[in-house]
Amino acid sequence: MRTTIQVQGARENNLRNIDLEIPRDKLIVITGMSGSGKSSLAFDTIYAEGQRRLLASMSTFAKRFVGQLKKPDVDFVNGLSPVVSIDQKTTGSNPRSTVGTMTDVSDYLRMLFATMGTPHCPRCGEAVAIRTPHQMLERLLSLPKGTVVEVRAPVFQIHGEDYEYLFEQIRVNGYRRALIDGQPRDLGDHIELDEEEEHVVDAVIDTFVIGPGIDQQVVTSLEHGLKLGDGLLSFHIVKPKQGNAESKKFHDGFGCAKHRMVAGEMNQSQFTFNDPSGACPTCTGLGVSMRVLPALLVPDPSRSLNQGAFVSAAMGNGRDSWGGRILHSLATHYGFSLDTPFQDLADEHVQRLLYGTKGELFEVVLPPGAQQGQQHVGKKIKFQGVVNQLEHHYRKYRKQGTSNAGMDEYLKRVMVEYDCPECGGARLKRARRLVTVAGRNLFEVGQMHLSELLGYLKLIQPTDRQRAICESILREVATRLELLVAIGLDYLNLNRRSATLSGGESQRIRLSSQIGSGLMGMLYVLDEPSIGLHPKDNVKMIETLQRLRDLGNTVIVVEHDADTIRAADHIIEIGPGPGVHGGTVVAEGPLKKILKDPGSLTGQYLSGKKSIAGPSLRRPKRGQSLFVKGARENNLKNINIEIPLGQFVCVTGASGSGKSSLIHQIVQKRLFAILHDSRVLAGEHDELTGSEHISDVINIDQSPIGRSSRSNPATYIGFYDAIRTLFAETEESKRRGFTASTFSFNVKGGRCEECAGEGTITTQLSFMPDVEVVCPTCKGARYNQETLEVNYQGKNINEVLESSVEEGVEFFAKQPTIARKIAILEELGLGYLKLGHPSTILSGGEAQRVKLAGELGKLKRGKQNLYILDEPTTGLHFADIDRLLDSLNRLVDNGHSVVVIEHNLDVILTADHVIDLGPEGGHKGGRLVASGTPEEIAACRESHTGQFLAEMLQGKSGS
Amino acid sequence: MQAAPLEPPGLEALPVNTESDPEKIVRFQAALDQLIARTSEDRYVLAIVLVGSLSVETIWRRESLGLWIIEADGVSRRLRSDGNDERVYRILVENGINIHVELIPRTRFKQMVDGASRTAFSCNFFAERRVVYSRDPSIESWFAKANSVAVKDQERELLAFSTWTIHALRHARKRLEIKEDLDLAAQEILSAAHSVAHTEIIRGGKICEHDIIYRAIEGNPKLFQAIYLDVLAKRKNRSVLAAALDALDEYLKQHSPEHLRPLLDYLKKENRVVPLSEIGEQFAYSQLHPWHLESACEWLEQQGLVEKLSAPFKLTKRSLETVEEPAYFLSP
Repeated sequence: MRTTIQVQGARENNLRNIDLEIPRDKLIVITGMSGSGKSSLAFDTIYAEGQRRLLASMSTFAKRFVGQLKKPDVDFVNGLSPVVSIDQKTTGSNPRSTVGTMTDVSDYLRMLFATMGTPHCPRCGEAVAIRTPHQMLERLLSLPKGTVVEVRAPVFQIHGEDYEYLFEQIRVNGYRRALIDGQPRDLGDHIELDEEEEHVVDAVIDTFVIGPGIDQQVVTSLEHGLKLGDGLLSFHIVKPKQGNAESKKFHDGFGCAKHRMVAGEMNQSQFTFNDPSGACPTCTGLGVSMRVLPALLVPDPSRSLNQGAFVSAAMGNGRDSWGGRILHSLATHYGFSLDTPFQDLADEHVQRLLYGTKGELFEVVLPPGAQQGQQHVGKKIKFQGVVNQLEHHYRKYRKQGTSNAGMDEYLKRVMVEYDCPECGGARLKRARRLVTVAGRNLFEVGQMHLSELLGYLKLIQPTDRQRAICESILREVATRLELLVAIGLDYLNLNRRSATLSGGESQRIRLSSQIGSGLMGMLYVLDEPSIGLHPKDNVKMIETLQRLRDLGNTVIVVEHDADTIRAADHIIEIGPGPGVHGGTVVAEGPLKKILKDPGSLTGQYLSGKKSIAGPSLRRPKRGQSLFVKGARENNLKNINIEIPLGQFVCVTGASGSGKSSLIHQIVQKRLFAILHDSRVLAGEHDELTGSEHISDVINIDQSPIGRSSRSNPATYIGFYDAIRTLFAETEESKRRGFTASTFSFNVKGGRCEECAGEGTITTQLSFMPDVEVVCPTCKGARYNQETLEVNYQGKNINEVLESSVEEGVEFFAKQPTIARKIAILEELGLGYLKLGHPSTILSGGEAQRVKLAGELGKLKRGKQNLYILDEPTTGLHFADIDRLLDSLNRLVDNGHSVVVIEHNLDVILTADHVIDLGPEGGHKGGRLVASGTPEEIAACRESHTGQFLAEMLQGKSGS
Repeated sequence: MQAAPLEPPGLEALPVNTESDPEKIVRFQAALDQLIARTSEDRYVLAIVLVGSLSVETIWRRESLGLWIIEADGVSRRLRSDGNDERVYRILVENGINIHVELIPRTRFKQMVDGASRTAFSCNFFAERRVVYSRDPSIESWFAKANSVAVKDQERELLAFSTWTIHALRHARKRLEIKEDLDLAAQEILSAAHSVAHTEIIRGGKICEHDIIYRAIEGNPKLFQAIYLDVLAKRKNRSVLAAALDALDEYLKQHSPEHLRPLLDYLKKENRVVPLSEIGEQFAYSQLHPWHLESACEWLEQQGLVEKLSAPFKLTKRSLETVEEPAYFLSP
């Protein structure tokens, strides 16, 4: 049997026809400088080929439903297993996806609740018995012949709807009679109820006269009734009157004592918020509702109503629009001016505009110059207010039960989410929330931290009958939870929305799912699993990877983290440099071999022969700071933080300790709201002061710089325009009448029209993969022949785009504006990128550095910006980190401030100031553990970061 | 000898129906009894309901029997020709009399009885129907209870027929006064008269079944003389039609505020300017089309009962620009 994966002739991207043998059933780390070709080997070659072969084995019919992959540029790969890639992509923004659904734990818990749950009477809270419709029938048939039994179902008002709506719904379901507060009523009549009071409503499902031959209709009727009653029914003997011995015998042990409520059998689908039988009817299982936030309606309060103070979609102000008429009529009636800035309007008038005239009638008056609407003049009407109007539309929209992306987007712009007023965020119907296991309902169980949840599961005592099913469910749940806890995610809970998880957290969850699957002989390919992990959590991650390997799997990890590399059984270093300078195997073998290998840059850093230099002198404080007071967003515990300006500040702490909540949710958003757009809502906090010392706040994240292949570093940073102008100014261009736009591949004129400037033509085949061929007309050059005949310093426009950043620096040496911007790209370690490198194939780290280069290129004197970077070392080799730190320090030296969220100890050590949050993640975090220079943090015993820093500092002083 | 010419088949050759009404009733009753006898052994047949009656007044028009047979749940026998509804139609025969049967599962039947409002199905339909056989006492009890007319159902039907009347009247007046087309104007008036007939029957707490116009004429001969009989019988001239229109106008003025009560109540409850599209959504289930509601709202505006304004409306779900649609406001 093969014990290795053999790769021969790998030429994908910059790989230089490399051959290598990777041991199977081991933990393998592929490392190297950014852009050296690590991902090209791990993902674009090994993973892609494994995936392609797996898909190729499917039938043609099945292939129609799965995306097809291109064959990677490799001669052959032998010894592949089914391959699974676990990348860092966040799991999307589906509001219905939670940690519970991602890990399948929710599915098991649903089964647990359906099997073992104890329902409770919604009226008195007493536990009620569960009976199948057939068991209910048996009970009914035990009554004497001729007994008349009425079956009722409890029904409840839907939040925000009146009782009339409820009665209508009961009738729609086919029931006309009901008991309202104990009184029989005909729902076909007008029923006046005090809407402020809560009323007890029981719909009458059916009346049976006990006798032979009623079996089938009773069962069907009960089944229908259970749907209306959300699994609950009550039985009442109508004739003879209740209270005799038969009646007592009938009710004894059958339903709650007071309300005679009996629960129907439960099934797992009733406990999912993705099914109407389980979802809260008010929020349809989302757990949140929306309400209008007046601040969002008026983005710029300095504008007057005539200038469009209200968001136009909420209230138009055109003289011939209905909104314009209302505004003018209100202004005339209440005596305010439509030219007054919104912020200067009297409170009373703002209230009328937002919340309506409260029953007061006013006359319709047309705005000056109105062309239409004469027929409305003089009519007396009311106005419900912009806020009420929008909320009315929102309710109508939700009632429709359909989703419309445009509408959702619009509502999000003017409304904010809050817990559903009916279920309080539990997402489940009232009847489902009344089902408990060991005293907790499903929502409460989902709110527990995973470690707490494990403890709760041990409290469950199944009956003998339940034991067989229950034990297997509990075993499955416990196994999954233990894995999640072991991987350092004990602070999460099952109800946590997937959209709020970091990339690292979701990667680890998927990793635990894979381990939970118990498969062996698999090949796992992971992309930097250490991202977002505090060194203390990283230890757990490495243990997990080893566990995956010990199950009998091959684990290939693309990684820069020193601890992970040290833990690997086999290391492959791709390099030596990035891009065209890389693509070969520099070193491979176990750690010992790598450490001794003089050609391995990784080995040199790991052995301490090379290291990232700390600053010789820390910058002193310049006396200006940002102060955040009372930060309470997510798990932050009402903390006060000082962020010194003009320094390189690092925010550290365990995963989930509240770093992002503090920096992104509060600092960045609040500053953005102050400096740019007041509609941006910052996370919960009391106050942020010191913003006057900042000209702008810039977040340099790892999101793609463009989604189109027409975007590239040259267009993003902006020097492409200058290059086009250079070409347009050549003699040849002038002679031919070419302008700068002729040299754009985005507009007609100079581009190749066959491929519309793409360079390739994609043909879609139904069940075969899309075929992308180089454009036969321009041969991939993107421009037409006439344009390509124009040369600048011997190169045509396509050749310039095809040249690397390094070549570009030399080529444009005489053009300082262009050269300076390209040089910054090179300084940031992106020298290997082509100037026309499509943005779509840039990695997250590369995109972040391109953005950073863009910012560095824009530096202006006198400006004092605050730059925020979240883990900028992601995807960077030790050597690249050095360059990145240089660039960041350059920003600080120019008077700007840099705040970096980082786990990399080398980076933390070079910071001027460190803010350490924690001490742990989730509910055990959110506190300020220490703040000061790295040395001061290292001296703090409670700080986990401090302990690791102390070790490093000791190591440095020792060496 | 020449053979006598064959007599053409004359009237004598055709069978003459000499059966008296009482004899016919006996024949039909016998057929019904025979069917009941056959089905009484079938435990899956829970009840048989006779649709209409076998009375002397109505037997003359009977050619067949109409029955509902309530069957147990879950035992329906379905044929390819049956639609999607759980109710299926069968035609049986007893003693040469065809019996039109609607087979209805018990639960579906219960829904028909109780869940009237949004199914365009009146509760009081039991009035002219009789349980002729039952092995499920609860079905009989439904009949007893459901004979009471559901107020809301009655109101909805009145609303529907009134809006139809207003709509037809609007068109009739246009045809007569602008187009001067007497024939088409008469047609619209007759259409309005039929809607008024329905309205009159419902107002009397009765059900709309056969011979509505006759029953309505009996109940309000003066009105129907003007809006129906005169229009039908007399030569169409302007004065007859104008008189019919005036009578219809008068009728509407007198009754419409009451007949349009659900619409007025809704506007009152909303207490704001309500766009027509929203009104349409609210009454979508009552066989009311937007143009019927529009006619009703316009009529209410003419009567000074509501204010007509306008509201912005987006033509497509992606439209950024708005157009205007009629909107109505009722000050409580």
